[in-house]
Amino acid sequence: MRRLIRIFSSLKTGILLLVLITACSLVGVIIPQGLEPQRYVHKWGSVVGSLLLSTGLDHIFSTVWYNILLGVFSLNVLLCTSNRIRVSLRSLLHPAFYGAGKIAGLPLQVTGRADGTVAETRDRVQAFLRRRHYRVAMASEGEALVFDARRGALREVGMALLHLSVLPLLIGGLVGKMTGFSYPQMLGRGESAPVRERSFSVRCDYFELERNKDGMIKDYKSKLTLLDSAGDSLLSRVIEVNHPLIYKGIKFYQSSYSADPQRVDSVGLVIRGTAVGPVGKGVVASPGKATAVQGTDLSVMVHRFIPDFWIDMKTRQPQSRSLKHNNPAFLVSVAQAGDTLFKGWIFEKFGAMHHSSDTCSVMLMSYGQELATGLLVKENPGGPLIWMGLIFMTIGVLLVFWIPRRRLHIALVPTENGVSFSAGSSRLRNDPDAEPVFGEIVTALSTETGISLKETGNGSIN
Amino acid sequence: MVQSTDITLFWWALIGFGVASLMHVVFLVSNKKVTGTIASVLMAVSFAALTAAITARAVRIGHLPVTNMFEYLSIFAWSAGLFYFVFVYFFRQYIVGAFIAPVVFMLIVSASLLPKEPNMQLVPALQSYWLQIHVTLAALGEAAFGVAFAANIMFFMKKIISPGVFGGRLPSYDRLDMVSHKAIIIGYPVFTVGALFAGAVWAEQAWGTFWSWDPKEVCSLIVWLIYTIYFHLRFLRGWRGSRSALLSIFGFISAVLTFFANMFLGGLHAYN
Repeated sequence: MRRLIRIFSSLKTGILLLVLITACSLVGVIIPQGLEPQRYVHKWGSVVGSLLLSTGLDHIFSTVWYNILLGVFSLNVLLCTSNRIRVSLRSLLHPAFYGAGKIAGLPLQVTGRADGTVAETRDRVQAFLRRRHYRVAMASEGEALVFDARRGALREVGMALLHLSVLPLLIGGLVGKMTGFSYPQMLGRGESAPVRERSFSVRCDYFELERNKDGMIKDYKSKLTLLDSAGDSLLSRVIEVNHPLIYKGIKFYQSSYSADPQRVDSVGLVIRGTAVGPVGKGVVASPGKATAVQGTDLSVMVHRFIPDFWIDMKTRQPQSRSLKHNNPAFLVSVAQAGDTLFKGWIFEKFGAMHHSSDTCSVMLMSYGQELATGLLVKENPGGPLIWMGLIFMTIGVLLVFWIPRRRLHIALVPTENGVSFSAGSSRLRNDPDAEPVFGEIVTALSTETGISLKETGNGSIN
Repeated sequence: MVQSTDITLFWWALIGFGVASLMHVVFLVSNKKVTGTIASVLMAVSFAALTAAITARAVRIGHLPVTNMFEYLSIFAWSAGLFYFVFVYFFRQYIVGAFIAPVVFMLIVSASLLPKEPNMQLVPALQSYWLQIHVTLAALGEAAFGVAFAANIMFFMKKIISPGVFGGRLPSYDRLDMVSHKAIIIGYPVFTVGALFAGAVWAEQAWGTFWSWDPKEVCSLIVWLIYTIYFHLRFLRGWRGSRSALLSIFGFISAVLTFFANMFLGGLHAYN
């Protein structure tokens, strides 16, 4: 069991899991995701297509096994990171003191000598290291004095943050998926709808589509009002794409728009008859408003619109059979000096089907539908955790890659004519600067403290 | 039709990078310092022309030009050009630049093949400052990976080409490994924050979800995973040299394919 835990918490297993996740993600890119089942059979043949469908490769990222893989990886990251934190803390709390012999075995090392006593050299070396922001620990080993100097402890904090941030990201995603909700909501002007799992509702006061001078869509926005259960206004705000409304954990996104099937914003009519002359007059009317017919003393008004007109035989009242525009009809009236010349239903598909008279008849030419707003209503209880993960990972990745980690082991040994000096550092993995920086620091140390370094065989620092 | 200033400047930059790349080849063969200096000066002039082209376009269209593939590749080439100077300055060796210059040229030539009409009217979802942050940082990160790629190519050329030609003058294997590793160390955090996180935050604002498993998102995740594996293999297994270079090449090729992912895979990033 212990062996199993050791294998499971090893970095090697972590790399294997990373490779597996990469490979599965690649499969998810190569095989188009979320298509209709018959398209896989059509594209890949019945055998391969059926295999893809039965193994879930058509929706790989939502399969149980892919999510288990992510979960196992997160657990591995957690275990690896806790191991690393333990080692880092131990190393930070218990400095390692290397004598001259051990320093000589390090991959980066240099030797030299200084005049004076060990105490004098110690003070100079210590002052130098502190000027360069090293944390210095010292110990005596017989007559020798050894230093363990290091800087960049924040990098270790970054390393922990970077790796541990995988957890809030994954848990946040999971919480959002399991406990949150997201649904589209279309609302016409003035319409309202209850918000799922809340005691308030949302109303669209208006929807506005802006176009630029070339007719291209510039922006679209909606004014939303949230209403409590008594119908009183709680909050009003204009939302647009990239600027959602947030209220008590619910976000209202401006997601889309479409033609409102129940509302029209303009109706193009032609009035004919003796009241306007033989040619007829065209007019564009807005529903609910009396519109003057130019060049005449007539006014026209559109009272009502029904998208799929029929007469309910029980009530004998006109109604809409559906929201589809199968039989659009308008109740229109034409008035002259307060007298109604015409009032009746006109139809898009049945132009002649209304009671016309010699004085006045009305023909429908066109109509424009009002636009309804398309909202995405979303609650994501995992959102704060995802934010936390993103912030932790950002801080972590910047600390790890931008804060260098440095460590120097120094030994000062008294000799007959001064002090023998040894300095060394391990070549830190993933740190391309370890070698040049070590060369730079010992050269500066030599210049600033008066320690003369020994030239090596090839004239460079080993 | 009169060509706009930004496009004229773009073509000048392209010619400049082409001549500069050629001069770098002459430098590689001749090993004369003067040719290296001329090549670097040409790179500087071309870089200035491309900077001016991008600025002129930004002024013309009223936003940072990062909304179509031509503009993205131009910014990508510009970022790689920037790293040329960083690395030539850092290593004080023209020979390192000799391999970055062709990468810049390759990127700007790719840009030149794409439609150059700007998006004068951005769709509402793109009207966000996150667009600038997301795309610019992604381009910078990928350009750094491009520099690593150039060093990896040098690494393998040094293995193949006999020292007599110019193989002997190429930096040591250790140095090339270091250049590549350093470039990835610069690129990885920038790519992580820019391509992945800024993208996720913006997606949450615009679409209401941090992550949609969109093909381009998954491709970017794959690029990130490859470089994550790269770091862990260097740390755990001590990977250096050829194996490390191969992984880095694989990472950069994935980054380039990611760039084209929306063209043949569609998805939420298919704005064009």
